[in-house]
Amino acid sequence: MPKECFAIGKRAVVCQDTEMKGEIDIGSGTVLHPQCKILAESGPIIIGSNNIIEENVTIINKYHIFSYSTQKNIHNIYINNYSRQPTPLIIGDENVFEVGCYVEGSKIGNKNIIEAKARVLGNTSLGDNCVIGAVCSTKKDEAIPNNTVIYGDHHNRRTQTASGGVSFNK
Amino acid sequence: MSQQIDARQRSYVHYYCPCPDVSKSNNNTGEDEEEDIVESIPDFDVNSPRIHFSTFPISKLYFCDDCHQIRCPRCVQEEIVCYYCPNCLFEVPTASVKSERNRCARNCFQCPICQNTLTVVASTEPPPPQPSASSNSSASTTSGAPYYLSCGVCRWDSQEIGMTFEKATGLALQLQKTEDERPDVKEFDHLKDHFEKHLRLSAPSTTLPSSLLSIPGISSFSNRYGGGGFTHPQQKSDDVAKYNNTIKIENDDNLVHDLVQLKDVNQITTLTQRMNQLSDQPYKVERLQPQRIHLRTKRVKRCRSCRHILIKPEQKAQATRFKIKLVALNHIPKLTITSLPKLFLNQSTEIILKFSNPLYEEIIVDLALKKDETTETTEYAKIKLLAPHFNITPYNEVWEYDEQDFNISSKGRPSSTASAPKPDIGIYERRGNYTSVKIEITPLAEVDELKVRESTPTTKSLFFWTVIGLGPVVNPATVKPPAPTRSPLTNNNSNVAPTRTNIN
Repeated sequence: MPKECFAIGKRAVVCQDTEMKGEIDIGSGTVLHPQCKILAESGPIIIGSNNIIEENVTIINKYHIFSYSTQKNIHNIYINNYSRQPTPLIIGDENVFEVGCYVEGSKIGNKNIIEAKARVLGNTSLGDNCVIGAVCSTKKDEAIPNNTVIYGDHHNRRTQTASGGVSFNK
Repeated sequence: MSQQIDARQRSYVHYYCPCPDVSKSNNNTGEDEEEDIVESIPDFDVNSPRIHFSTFPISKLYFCDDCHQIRCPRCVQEEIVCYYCPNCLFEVPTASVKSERNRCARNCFQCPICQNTLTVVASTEPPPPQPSASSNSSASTTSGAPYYLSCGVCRWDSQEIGMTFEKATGLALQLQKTEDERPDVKEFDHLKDHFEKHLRLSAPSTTLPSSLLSIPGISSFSNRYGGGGFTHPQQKSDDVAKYNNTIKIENDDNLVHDLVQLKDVNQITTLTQRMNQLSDQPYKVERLQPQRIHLRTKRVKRCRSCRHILIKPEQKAQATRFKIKLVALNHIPKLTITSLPKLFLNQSTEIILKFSNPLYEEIIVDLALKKDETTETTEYAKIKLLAPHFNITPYNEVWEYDEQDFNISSKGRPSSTASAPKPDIGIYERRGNYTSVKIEITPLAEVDELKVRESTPTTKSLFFWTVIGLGPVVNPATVKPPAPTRSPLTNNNSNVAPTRTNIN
């Protein structure tokens, strides 16, 4: 089991009632609302500065099984996982994780907005300035380029935005 | 787990409206009304495809007090009360609806990519480099002159196509000029001018009652038959001179060339996007433009046979209440399936149907499968009604405030336990204003059927068929033991169970 260790930057706000496990590093100015879960199960989680992590958000760093296989091979995969080095989940600056979202990816860039109940699955990495719309999810194991927007009911429609427009009030 | 959820999602209770059955005789005036009507109801064949068009969930049905019949959305007559914009809730006066082509004339636009409403956003100016501080510091975060439209869902904005506005209001007016320059609009105006004098020669258009306005195209229909009565048709065609096109549009050969070289299907527009811009229906995403939002109507619904108003909304666009609201939920019992265990082939299971009474009087319910039978064996299932005759106590508003009284049925009897004077066979539970009954089903084949009949309160009787869909039937022989593999279903058709209900 990874050791529990929290390093919290200055002016960061971590509310009571949050569930945090494992090695977590929170940058300055980041706000964690109550009832969120940061679970660094298979490696540390490093969160940048000035993020907003709202209620009921789950950020997990966990083992991934890459493909469904028959009974024979699952045994081999478990053995391989135990010998893996712990990889950190790095989250950048100025992101917004809205209520109820679920983040499991490998790397999140800066200035992203992950809307309510969205899911970032598996090994995907997000670039900068992306928007994952409400209830949308990414596929496992892809690298989402900068400035992508995922929206809509069939939640895999993407388009690019122009780079401007959104600024945070400081 | 997900299969269980699927079965529940596919199970339903729909009510049948007999309006498409024209052959049924409507003139039953015998004293023994119940028997006559029983025989005259045509046999209800659940598996015919026309059932999908005439069965509805109770939320979509209305009830006519005069005729004492269920009315479905297909057999009500609609009249338009007012036109309003769904975004700004502005009531458009009927006269200007036609001139604005049924669209909102104010700031309401629709995103060309995802069809959601666009918001007007002011572009922020970058903060000025010199410190002429006091006057400019406030301007650094507030609006600059160019306004543009932006979509909150797909993050499109009109700066991508170069559309910006000077003022934040009256955007449609600012766009009017570019709209008038479009080739199809100009051509249409030329056509109108050309035919103007011929239009004026024919008789003036008849004014239609507003009740018929809901049918599109009816004004042109009446013009053709009502107007040309006196003009000689031969003379009329001679008067029309030959029309020459004034606008020429060249074939766009570059477009074909570009389409042939496409690597990614995301670069062309989808069918929905093209259908929303009917004037030119572009293939390229850059040529899509925001359209004005379509107006919606508030309508009055009337019963087709007695012209009695069933639904009358309020005139104001913001008001959601109704002045008259005769919906089926308030008049006929609502059937819900409260317990639906998985249905296995050749295994008898009990499902529980809950009947809840919305009226202030007690009702007596007679359930039957077709023609007064309580058990039935079709090729799909063997069905047995365990409680063919029962009553439901009336609704009492006091129960909403005090949970305790809810458990006691009327006349002070305790809820159905062994101490009740008569044994209530087949009745699962009797509480408040509802009664739940059990029905035993043994599916014999892949699709399941059930027919039940109900009757109405003592003064009048009402009967209707209901269709109960019970979800898929699983063949247990093919279910594998729980493992990473998922167990296959033998048949994915939803089971349709028609029930005829008579309420006494």
